Amino acid sequence: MRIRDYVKPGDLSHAYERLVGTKGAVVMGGGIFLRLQNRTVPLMIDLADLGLDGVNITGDRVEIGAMTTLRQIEKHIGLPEALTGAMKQIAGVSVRNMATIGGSVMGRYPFSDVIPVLLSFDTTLHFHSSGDMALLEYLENGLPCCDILTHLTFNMPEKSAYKAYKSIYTDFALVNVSVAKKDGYCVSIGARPGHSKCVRVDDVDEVLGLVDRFEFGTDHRASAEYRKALAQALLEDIWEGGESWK
Amino acid sequence: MEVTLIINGDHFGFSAEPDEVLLDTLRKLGFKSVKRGCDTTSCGMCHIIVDGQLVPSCSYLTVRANRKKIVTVEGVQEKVRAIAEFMTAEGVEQCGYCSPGHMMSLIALFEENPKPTMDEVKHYLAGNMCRCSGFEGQHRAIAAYLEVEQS
Ligand SMILES: Cc1cc2nc3c(=O)[nH]c(=O)nc-3n(C[C@H](O)[C@H](O)[C@H](O)COP(=O)(O)OP(=O)(O)OC[C@H]3O[C@@H](n4cnc5c(N)ncnc54)[C@H](O)[C@@H]3O)c2cc1C
Ligand code: FES
Ligand code: FES
Repeated sequence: MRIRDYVKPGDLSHAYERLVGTKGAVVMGGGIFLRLQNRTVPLMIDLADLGLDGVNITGDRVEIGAMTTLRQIEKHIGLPEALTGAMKQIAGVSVRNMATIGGSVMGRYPFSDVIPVLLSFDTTLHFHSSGDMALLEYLENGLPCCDILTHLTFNMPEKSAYKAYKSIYTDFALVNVSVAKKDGYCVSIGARPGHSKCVRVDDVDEVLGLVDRFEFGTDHRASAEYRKALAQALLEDIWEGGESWK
Repeated sequence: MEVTLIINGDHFGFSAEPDEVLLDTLRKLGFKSVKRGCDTTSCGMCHIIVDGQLVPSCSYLTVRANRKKIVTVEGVQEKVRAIAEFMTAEGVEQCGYCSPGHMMSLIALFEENPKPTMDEVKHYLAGNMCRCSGFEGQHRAIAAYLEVEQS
C-alpha cells in the first residue's frame, strides 16, 4: 500500500471530518490488513490517539472499544471464554498485539475467528455518525457511507464456547463454530467459507441438529461436505465438553 | 514527516515517508538485526518491541511510532547472549536468519511471563517461522535455558 498523507488526530470529530472531507481517505486500526492491499491511499487516518481502546464491563453489559487489540481481549479475565479463546489461535502474538477488534469487524473477513463469536452474542456496533447497528445487519449490508466504529456492545452470555478447525496452528480456520446461551441458544458458524451466519433456538434439544440449517461451500481449502462434517463435530465437541448447557 | 524514535535508549530524529515501515527505517539507521522475511506479517523475522509490545516491524508505520520506545536485539545483547549459549549448545543455528526475531519474541515472553511452561513458550512462538525448520532444537535449547534460569 502507498500512502500519500498521514494524520493521527486526537479528537474523534476531527478524525471524522477528515474522513468525509477527503476523497478516498481510509481509517487505520492495527493497519496490518490494510498494508497488504495493493492501492494508493490519499490520506491515512490513524485512530490510535482517540482513546478508543479498552474493555468496560458494567453488570451484564460489555463494551469493547474499537481500537482494543486482540491480545488485550485474549488476556482480559472478565470476558466470556468463547471470545478470549477465539483470540488465542489468531496468527502469532505480534499480530494480536497490533490487530484491533474494530479492524477485525469492519473488514467483514469470511475467515474471521472474531466475528462468529460476536455474532453469537448478538453484538451491536456503535458508529460515530451512523449510530447503532446490529453486527448481523452490518455483515449483510455494510454501511451506507464511510464512518468510524467507536465501540461494540453485547450482554454477557450465561455460557459460551468456541472451536475452530485449523489444519496448521496459526492458519485460517477451515470452519469455526461459536455457541452462546442467553435467552435461548445461538449457534454461529463461520468460514463456511462465506461470512458467519447464526441461528437461534429456544429448545436445547434442537441445538445439535442446527448444522443442517447452514449452507457450506467448496473452495481450494476444503469441500462443502468436509466443512459440514467438521462443523457438526465441533458443535458436538462443544456440547459434550464442560458443564451441561441446559 | 518529522519523526523522533527512541531506539535502545537513544533518540533519532529524521524525516519519514507516510508509508515507510519500521523495518526499513531501522535497517537504514544501522539496526541490521531486524530482518525482512515474508513482508506480510506472517514469519516473525522482523520482530521488535515497541513500547513494551512485540510487533512485526514490517507492518508498523514509522510515523505511527513517533516518540515511542523501540527495542531491537542491539539493545538487549546481554540477555540475548545468555539464551544464545543454549541455542549454540543445541546446534540450533543453521542460516541464523530467524534468530533475531526469535530472540525478540523470547525476550518479550520472559518480560510478560518470567516462568513460562514449554506449552506457553510454544504458543508464544507460534508466529515465528524458521526457514531451516529448526523448531525442535529451539525448543530443546529454551527448555534447557529455563531449567537453569528457574533452578
Ligand atoms: C498474518 C495474518 C494472519 C491472520 N490470521 C487470522 C486468523 O486466523 N483469524 C482471524 O480472525 N483473523 C486473522 N487475521 C486478521 C487480523 O486478526 C485482523 O482482523 C486484521 O488484521 C484487521 O485488523 P486491523 O486492526 O489490522 O485492521 P486494519 O488493517 O487497520 O483495517 C481493516 C479494515 O477495517 C477498517 N477499520 C479499521 N478500524 C476501523 C474503525 N474503528 N472504524 C471503521 N473502519 C475501521 C479499515 O479502514 C480497513 O478497511 C490475520 C492477519 C494477519 C496479518
Ligand atoms: S517480515 Fe515481518 S512478519 Fe515476516
Ligand atoms: S536457522 Fe535458518 S531460518 Fe531459522
